[in-house]
Amino acid sequence: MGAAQKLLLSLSDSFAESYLHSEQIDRFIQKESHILFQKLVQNGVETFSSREQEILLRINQRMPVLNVDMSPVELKIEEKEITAEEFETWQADLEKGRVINKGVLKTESAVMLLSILDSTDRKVSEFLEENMELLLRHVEVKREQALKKYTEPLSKKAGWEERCKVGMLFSAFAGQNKDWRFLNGALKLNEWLWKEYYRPFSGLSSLPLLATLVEQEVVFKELQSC
Amino acid sequence: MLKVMLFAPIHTSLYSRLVLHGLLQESQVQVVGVAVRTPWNMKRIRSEWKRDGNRLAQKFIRKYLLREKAFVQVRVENLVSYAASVDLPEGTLKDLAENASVPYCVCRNLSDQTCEAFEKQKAPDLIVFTGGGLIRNNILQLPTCGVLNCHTGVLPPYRGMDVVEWTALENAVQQVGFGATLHYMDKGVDTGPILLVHSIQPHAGESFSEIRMRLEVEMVRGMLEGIRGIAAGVLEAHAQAAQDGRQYFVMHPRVKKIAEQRLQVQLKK
Repeated sequence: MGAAQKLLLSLSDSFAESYLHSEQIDRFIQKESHILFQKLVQNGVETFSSREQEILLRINQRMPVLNVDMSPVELKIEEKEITAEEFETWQADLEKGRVINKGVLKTESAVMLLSILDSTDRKVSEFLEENMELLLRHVEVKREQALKKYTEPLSKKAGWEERCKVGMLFSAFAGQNKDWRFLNGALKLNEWLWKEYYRPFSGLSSLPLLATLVEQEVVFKELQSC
Repeated sequence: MLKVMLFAPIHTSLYSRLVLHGLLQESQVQVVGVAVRTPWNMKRIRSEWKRDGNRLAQKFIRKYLLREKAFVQVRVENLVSYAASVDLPEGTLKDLAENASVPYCVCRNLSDQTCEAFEKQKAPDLIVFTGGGLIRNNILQLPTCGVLNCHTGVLPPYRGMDVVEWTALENAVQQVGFGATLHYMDKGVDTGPILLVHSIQPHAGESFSEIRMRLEVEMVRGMLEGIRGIAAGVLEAHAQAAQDGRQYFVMHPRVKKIAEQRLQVQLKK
């Protein structure tokens, strides 16, 4: 093999895909959860908004799976469930029954779809599956530009948080259905969210990112062992 | 005589050259044109960079700069060894077309006006797609027989990207296996009627890239066998139902590591 050929081959190998490694994610989860739970112990759960409290509860439930070492915190948070009526009102407002239509995402889609994840109703399950496929295709095709248009105007921060919830939804759906495609989508989406979070002066809160990464890592472990 | 037009992603594509070379040997086929995408299109480069990132740089070095030289030290059958076995002449797709007096057209993308006008003028019965991005309806609907594509996976279950890896990840190597599927293109992704599947038997210790190399050869063989069958009127296409398969996307490197481990476990069985 000629020298130029060898050089080009090694140059080509050096372009191996770069990605967010599990060790980096582990470090982030350890650090941020430690800060978070210290804040909780010192200031109490009341200092968090109701939306943040829901995220806290979800994180706390999943931490043991990741063997995150922290003092046990008993969270006295009431889980706020979305009622069937609330869901139906939201669903009736969808254009063509789609959570994403012509690249525009209906706000609160992730929360609503998460709320029907355990549903045994055939029609609801079909609605969920169809819309999850639409979301996955959108994220995979649009990549970093995905989920940036919403039915209602959202601030940059709120939009980013909405995307974090979609990341969480992808992981949760992947775990529920043992479907790697959605975890694969979550891994990519969360990586883009990570980049946005670490952008200088982003001013973004770590909590939504922590939540989606915890969900991702828990489901990754689950699927790996299947 | 079946009038065929070839669509190619780039003038250096070995796969496209092998298919064209094969078609030129067929007595019942007349190649009426070759349409090729120009690589020097900023829009194309930008969109492929967005989609593939570093993969595009790898693809450029291996397929554009190294070409056949990228295959040295490969231990399985591949496009280069196959090209040697069929005496593929050296040169680009353009050289091959010109030597056979086949009209050659360079376009920005395979659905643009230049390409559409070329297709309308040559009026092929069949378009043979060997890569080059999305094909829009204006092109899909023109040839009387349709547009043929060979997919690097078994259809209908595995549609889309990286399906060799997905088959292994989902522990489907024994059940579904690896193969190249010849099908007509429609508006969906790998959802059109199926003509034939060329399967390969993977060997213990084989890597994804080795399996892919062997599949690329099967794609050429499958394509030529299919066109021969269509020309002779003996090959029938079977529609696939939407629910018979799922669409897969580019695999994340962390997931790919799991797929690699699972592949080796399945190949040992």
